[in-house]
Amino acid sequence: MGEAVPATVESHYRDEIPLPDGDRYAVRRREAVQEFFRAGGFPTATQEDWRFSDLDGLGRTAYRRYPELTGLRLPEPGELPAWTSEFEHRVLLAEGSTLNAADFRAGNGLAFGDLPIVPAEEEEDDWGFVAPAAETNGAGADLDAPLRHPLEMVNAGLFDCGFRVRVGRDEDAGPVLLYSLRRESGHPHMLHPRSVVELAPGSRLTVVEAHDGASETAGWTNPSTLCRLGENAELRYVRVELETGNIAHTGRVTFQLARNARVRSTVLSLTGGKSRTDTAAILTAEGAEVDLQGLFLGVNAAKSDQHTLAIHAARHTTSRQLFKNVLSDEASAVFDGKVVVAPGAIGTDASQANRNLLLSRKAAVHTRPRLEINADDVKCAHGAAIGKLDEDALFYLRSRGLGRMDSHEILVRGFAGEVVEKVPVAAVRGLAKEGLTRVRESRSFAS
Amino acid sequence: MTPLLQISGLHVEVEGREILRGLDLEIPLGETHAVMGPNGSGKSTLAHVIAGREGYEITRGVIRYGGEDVSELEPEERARKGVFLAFQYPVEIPGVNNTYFLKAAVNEIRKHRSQPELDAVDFLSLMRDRVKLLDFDEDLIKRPVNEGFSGGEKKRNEILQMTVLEPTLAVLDETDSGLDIDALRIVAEGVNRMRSPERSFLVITHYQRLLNHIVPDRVHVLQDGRIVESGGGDLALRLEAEGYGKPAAVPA
Repeated sequence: MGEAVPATVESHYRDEIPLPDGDRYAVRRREAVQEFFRAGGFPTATQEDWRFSDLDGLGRTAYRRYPELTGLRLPEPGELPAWTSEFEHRVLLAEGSTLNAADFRAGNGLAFGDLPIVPAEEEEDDWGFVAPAAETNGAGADLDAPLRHPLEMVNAGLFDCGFRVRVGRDEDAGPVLLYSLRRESGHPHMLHPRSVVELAPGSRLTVVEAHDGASETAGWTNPSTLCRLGENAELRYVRVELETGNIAHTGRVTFQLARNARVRSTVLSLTGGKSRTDTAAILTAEGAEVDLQGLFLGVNAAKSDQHTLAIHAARHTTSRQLFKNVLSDEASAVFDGKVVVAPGAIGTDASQANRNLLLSRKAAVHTRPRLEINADDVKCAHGAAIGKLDEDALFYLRSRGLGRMDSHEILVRGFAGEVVEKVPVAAVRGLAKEGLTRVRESRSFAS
Repeated sequence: MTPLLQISGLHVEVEGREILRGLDLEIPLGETHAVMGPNGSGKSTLAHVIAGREGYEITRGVIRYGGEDVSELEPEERARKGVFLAFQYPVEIPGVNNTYFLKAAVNEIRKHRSQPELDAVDFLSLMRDRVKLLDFDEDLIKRPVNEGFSGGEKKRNEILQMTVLEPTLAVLDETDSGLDIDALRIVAEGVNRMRSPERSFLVITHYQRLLNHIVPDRVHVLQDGRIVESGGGDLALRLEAEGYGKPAAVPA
């Protein structure tokens, strides 16, 4: 491996980086980056969807990519955090590698593999997956909007490791851990992991996607995950953001649901840096249901942006959203939630709630629920709340002998519990508890 | 003998308004006293200030408990010394399990008394015992604190907490409000079972009705932030018949 070549995203566009040998999809990838710049390049804060997400600098920084980083060793399975060992299937999405480091086993109806770069619809369908098809009687739903997300295009163009998990028809599998680890390289470097999760009709799967690691030098992590569900499939998806230090995280997860498919998703943000996650659900056929939840436990200057998009493209589809933020110190959060009801999607049932607990006067939150309803006979509810801990409740607990700090902690845990208790994996609930301990130990707690 | 609770010349301001204006009250250990008074007389302020609520500023006077000036103590410090307030409006605490909360409270208080903490098994058997006595729906103890409880269930939950925490001074703030006659009887029985020479009660109420079930040793009338009259149980009956009327004349 020669001397590392720093490169901005744009320099890939300008053909400054030679195409890697043996990458038969290299041209296609470069086209994705070119498409990104044709579409306007990095969004700026003047764009509605990016008002609170400052991407300034991402486009200008000369990030290195694996394998341009020399001397970076992949972690051995034993070096991964203890909580990851509770998973039967672990996949390491690290520094350009998928499978090398972590032990993983196939079986139990699961198939794993490196991700081919061809779009899914061009592949042979040899395992019974039926691609979701839109059933609206109108033409208003833009089902591909999440896939044209600007940073999705960057990921598609630059992804350096890709992984696919499939679960076969009527199988019940998981939990699978997709674990991405950033290690200190001494150089600014960027990661673009890409995962596809596919559930055949009637199957059930639990997937945890975690992004971990710390970096003092500037880093950018830009992962994409696409989850496709066949009819009657059920996915429980948990995303954990654990990165700390000088890292900008911009991630996306998109769910495509066929008839009567169900997704229950939780984004647990424990980031110590700055993180933005876009969660999109495309309900393409009758009876599809999503329940999207999120919890951010913010201390110091951590920032978490949660953007959601639920597209009701068929009749009688349901979406629920509940995003909560606990903000201490100077932590800040954004919730920007959008529900789109396509013409003809009658019987849509959508609800959206954003609740915020501010533990410090310097903490800040921007909340913006948005509804776009183009059909009759639909039920849509949304609401947002921002507040401090309830003084009456604090007095109530203290009047029973519980100390001031403990009373604050009990109330914060109670607030977070609504989301944490629904997380289907004990190891992840343990991470949330650690996050709550950091909140208790934060400077502004109970001050 | 020093009274368990001794309040002298107490002036209390809430949000800059003086609510209690020179209140005197003594409750010896082992006695049950009732404080009655019309709306706005300062009954709930008295309850809260005994429990140590923040924002209730004592501008003059003192609250002694067991001979000690507790005026400046935090609410939890008073609770650990054996003060209990049954709230007029028990607070709903979403996401906090009733049993978990009560176990934490019991063990906090036991720790203060240098008693060993109760483990889950011991605590549960203690709860079962008390729940049965109060005819309390056992499902409610597994739910979040007071969340979705009816008015009567909330009040019974207060008494349940009292029987588990075993305070030395229990202040009941309008525990009868919102209770039907059956619930009232159950609550009163719960209180009466706990009466002992080692424990005192301060029963704050608007109506005499409760005092048919919890018969007090003394009755005090609170009006305009002061105790204006004190007497035996017959005083409550007289007030019920005649009403509180206009404030009693106070010598200048």
